[in-house]
Amino acid sequence: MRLLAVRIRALFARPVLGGRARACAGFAVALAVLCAAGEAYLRVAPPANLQDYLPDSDREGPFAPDARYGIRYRSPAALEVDCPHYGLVRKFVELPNPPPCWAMFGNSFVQMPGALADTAREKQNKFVVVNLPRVTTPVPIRFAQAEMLLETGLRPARAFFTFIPLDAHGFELHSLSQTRATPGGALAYEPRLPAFGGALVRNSRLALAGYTRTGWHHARPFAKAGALYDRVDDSVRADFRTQFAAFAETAKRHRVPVSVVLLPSYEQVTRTAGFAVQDAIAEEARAVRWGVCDVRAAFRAHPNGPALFFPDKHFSATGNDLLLREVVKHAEAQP
Amino acid sequence: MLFWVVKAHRLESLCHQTKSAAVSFEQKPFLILFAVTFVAWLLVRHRERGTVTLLLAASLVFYAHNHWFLLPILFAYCGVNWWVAVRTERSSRPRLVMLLGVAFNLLVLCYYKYTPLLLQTFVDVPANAFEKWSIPYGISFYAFTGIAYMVEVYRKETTAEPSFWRYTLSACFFPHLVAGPILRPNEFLDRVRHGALPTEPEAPGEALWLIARGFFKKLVVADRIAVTIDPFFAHVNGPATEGVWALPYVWLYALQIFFDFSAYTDMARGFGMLFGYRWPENFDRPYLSASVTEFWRRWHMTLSRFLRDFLYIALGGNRCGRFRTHLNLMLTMLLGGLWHGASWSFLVWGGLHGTFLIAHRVWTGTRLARWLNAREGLARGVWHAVAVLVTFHCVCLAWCFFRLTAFADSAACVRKWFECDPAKMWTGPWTDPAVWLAVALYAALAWVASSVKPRPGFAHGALVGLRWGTLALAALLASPSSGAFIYFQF
Repeated sequence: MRLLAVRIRALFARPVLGGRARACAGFAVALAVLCAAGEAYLRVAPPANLQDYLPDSDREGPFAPDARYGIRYRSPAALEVDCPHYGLVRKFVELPNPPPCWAMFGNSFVQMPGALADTAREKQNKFVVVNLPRVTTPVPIRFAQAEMLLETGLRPARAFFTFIPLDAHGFELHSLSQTRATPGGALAYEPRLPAFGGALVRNSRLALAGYTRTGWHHARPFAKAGALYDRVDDSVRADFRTQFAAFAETAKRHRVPVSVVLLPSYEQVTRTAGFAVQDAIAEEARAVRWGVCDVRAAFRAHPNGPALFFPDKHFSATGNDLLLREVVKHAEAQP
Repeated sequence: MLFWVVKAHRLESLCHQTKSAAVSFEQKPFLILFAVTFVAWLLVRHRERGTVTLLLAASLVFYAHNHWFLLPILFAYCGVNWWVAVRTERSSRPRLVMLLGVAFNLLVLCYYKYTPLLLQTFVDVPANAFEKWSIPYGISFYAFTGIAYMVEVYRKETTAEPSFWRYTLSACFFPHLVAGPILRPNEFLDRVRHGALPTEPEAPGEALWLIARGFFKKLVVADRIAVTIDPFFAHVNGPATEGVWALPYVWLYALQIFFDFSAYTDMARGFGMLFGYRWPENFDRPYLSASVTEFWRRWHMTLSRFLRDFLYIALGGNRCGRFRTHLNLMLTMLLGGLWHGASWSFLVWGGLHGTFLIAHRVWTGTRLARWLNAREGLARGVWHAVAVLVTFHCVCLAWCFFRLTAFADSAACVRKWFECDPAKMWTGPWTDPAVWLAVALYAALAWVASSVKPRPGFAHGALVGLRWGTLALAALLASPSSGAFIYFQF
């Protein structure tokens, strides 16, 4: 009996784990505590870059989910909050006999001060130019703007959608099927989940943060924007096709003619980059019977290509003048 | 309104990201360079010539990455300082030789740093004439390291290094080259001399913790604070910030500059330790100082030490009466301010610190100060807390002139400490919980790391897990936009 008691005491006196095992346990506990702390941090205060991939977060914005464009503006009031210029457009629409106008949609090549919209306002006087500047204007937002304008009574003589090669890269990063609006109306993206560990990424913000740093969450992981000069993936074309088809219906209903304006990049004008993006978008636009204003020939024929661009590779005043001439020529040639 | 400014500012900063400064520790080229160098060092560390060649080559690649035109300046500094030190030992007029060497360092430094400022101030040269003027990064640090070396050789506190290559390695070893710490010969050069090169990493666990916490401080805390406060400071004197309370943004800037700079030092020390070198601390919880005098003993300690030993004491220190002591303090701080950059606002920053230091010296001589310092228990705690708060806000006041180099902006910032719209007081980017939680998370990590005793078994494993986990957490929680270290510009 005494011997048994000694043995039992010795058993408890000995540590349950060996030195190395205890060290491993300590390591695991520390990692677990840190992971919990990181997870808690991201739950309480997710940074902006992560919030883009939280379609269920409580961020607020002007959008509502839309099956055709991914997102649409919730209401005219929401559009006005997002693009304060809409207030002016509303007043223009309410005029008893509004003069003929052009509606221009696009990114900074249209919206920036001194860019296409401003140049058109300054250098031609047949049409009033309507545009809605915004800090960033991904392709789905352009169509959402256009849809709301047409639905609220704007009847432009022509709607112009401008595209640069980088716009197609936007669909490589976040395809139309990934584009969401949070319940509060902010733009968000559903990350592309990995084949293995998708549940972890979906349920853990720390895992999601790590995953979004790898680039695998994009619609086409590691796709390089430069590769679009040579080849456009079918999935990207399909996203353009879907949006064009949806807006073609709206435009037809309101009898608004549409043109796409295909802008060349600095590399395409001054170097030897290909035009696969413009070719693909032109094909999709023609399929829905839209006009195609492809200005590549005019830009490439210019004797001083670099002079058409600012150092940040936006169009210079000369570039915008040339672009406007081509747009006017295109509009006049349309039936 | 500020929301739009924040968004526009992000776009603007994206446009300027292509302009690269020095390679930063968190960038891929550095991480590759470090990994290759460390593995190669493990292979050659028992051969002195191979080690010196490897570390020197890595340092030159680090410094000259995308900036090859800067190498001649670095070599000129190293060559002159090495030659002057050798000549100082042998010359019959060592003081003259040493002074010539110091003059060379200061003149070249002043030429690069102060030419635009002086010409714009005293000759009517337009500001845009110097748009392309660039200061070789790290020049202030390697000039000061060189001055310390030459003066110490002159004072016979150290001996001149006969090998040019070993001296050059000590002057431009990549972890400390761009932003310090400012090392004295006994802290580094003596470990590069013949027969003294380390062959083993120094305390790799501690080195890992320094690197991990450095990354965390920079990527998670400092960069996140930067995203929050940069738009405010960019428009501090404009309508976008009208009625906004400036003080929280200044608090955050104080935290940002501490986390940013101490992160650099931590990483530099950590990388140095992996190659076997232990360098001094540069920061010791400076914002817990109860006086500005104490603050300078805890903030950028290697610079404070340099200014004390080579400027303040050289000017006479506190040995020539009260007036001269105060004058010396003021001159030291003014020059310390100017060292930071070519702007009169840095002079104001130094002047403010000089004023605070003098005021503190005067205050400590008063009967009230002696009475307050003699309190015990709760009264002492309360007085200490008040002193810490007052000191912190004095430092914050000076930071306004450090952060904003235009007087109108600095003045507007200070005015907005007191003038604000009560409706806007508790709103705006500074209330973003992500920022304050990041600071709290770091404080918790640092507290745990300092509390765990490195005993074998569970505690040891936990400490290792904490170090690796902090490194991983820094990568996962990193702010999306990471800027260069603030002190790279000095």
